[in-house]
Amino acid sequence: MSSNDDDILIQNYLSGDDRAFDDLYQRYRRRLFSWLVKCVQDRRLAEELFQETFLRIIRFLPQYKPQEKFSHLLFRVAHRLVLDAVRKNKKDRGVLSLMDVTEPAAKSESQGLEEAIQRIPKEQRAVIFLSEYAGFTFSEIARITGCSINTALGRMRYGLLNLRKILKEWEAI
Amino acid sequence: MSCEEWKERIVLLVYEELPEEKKDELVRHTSSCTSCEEELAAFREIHARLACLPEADGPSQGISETIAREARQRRRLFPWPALLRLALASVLLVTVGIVLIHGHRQPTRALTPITWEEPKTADLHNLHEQIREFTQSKSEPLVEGSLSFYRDAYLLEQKMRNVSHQLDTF
Repeated sequence: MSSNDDDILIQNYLSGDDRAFDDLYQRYRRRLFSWLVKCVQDRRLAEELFQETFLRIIRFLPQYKPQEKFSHLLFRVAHRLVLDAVRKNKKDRGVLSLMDVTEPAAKSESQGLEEAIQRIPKEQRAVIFLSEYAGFTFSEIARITGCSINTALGRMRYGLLNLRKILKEWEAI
Repeated sequence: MSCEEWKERIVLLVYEELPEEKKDELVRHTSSCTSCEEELAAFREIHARLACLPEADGPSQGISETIAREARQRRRLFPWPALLRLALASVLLVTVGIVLIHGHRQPTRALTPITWEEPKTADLHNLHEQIREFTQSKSEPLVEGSLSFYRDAYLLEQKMRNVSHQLDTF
């Protein structure tokens, strides 16, 4: 899907074609939701953030300028909401629920990996998720998260190194 | 190039963002450097494992319906600002047009014609005085083309006609 197509759909929607919005929504529905679930590891919270992201996008669309890709805008809004939610969660509960250490051996490989991801710094986690589950390049990730491409690359590298370290420790148990 | 610099490129290689010409260089280096080779292998393995993690399906139907409803409601509001702007522009344009037309006609409409009275010598003298005062009262220069210029010219012409007519009748 090209960003040009997104722009056409947005223009059609603003001109009165409701189906154009439905098409746009369908394009990003699963990609965004999947990414949100991975980020917050809580389906209910992911749904809240997903809805809030789209509601904000709908309100913003009349001012949308095609200079910025729609996908970048969408994930930028979602990324900010995720960071806020993580911050709020930490404040409310002291730590993220997923930070609570559970016995890794009792979990499946995928559960163990997902848990390991939750233990790395959130900036590194965000870059890994944006690359792995949202399919963005590093220059796009830099734009979405508001950092330089070198920072995005560095976060990715240290994220993967941390992940390897955690997994090694767990595998040694 | 140091190992640290090569390692910065490993991420790009794993995620297929390294240009082809640099890819070969890095692969050649990793074949002769154990540390870089290990890092490349580890990153490839994690990348493969991450790719296998199950993806969540979409959000619930209720969420999708809420978003679709909001999109429709909001969209109905979008055309209004444009229409409103157009309507305001039309009103403004018409108003400006009326003011301009009215403004140009104003001197002829606003000026009350000088009523004819039976000429008397005293009146003639009075008229002469009026013209003299009128022309002298114009301390500010008359600008040709301005509304005041046409108004004054008109008034003067009317006064002159009256004088001329009264002279004829004598």
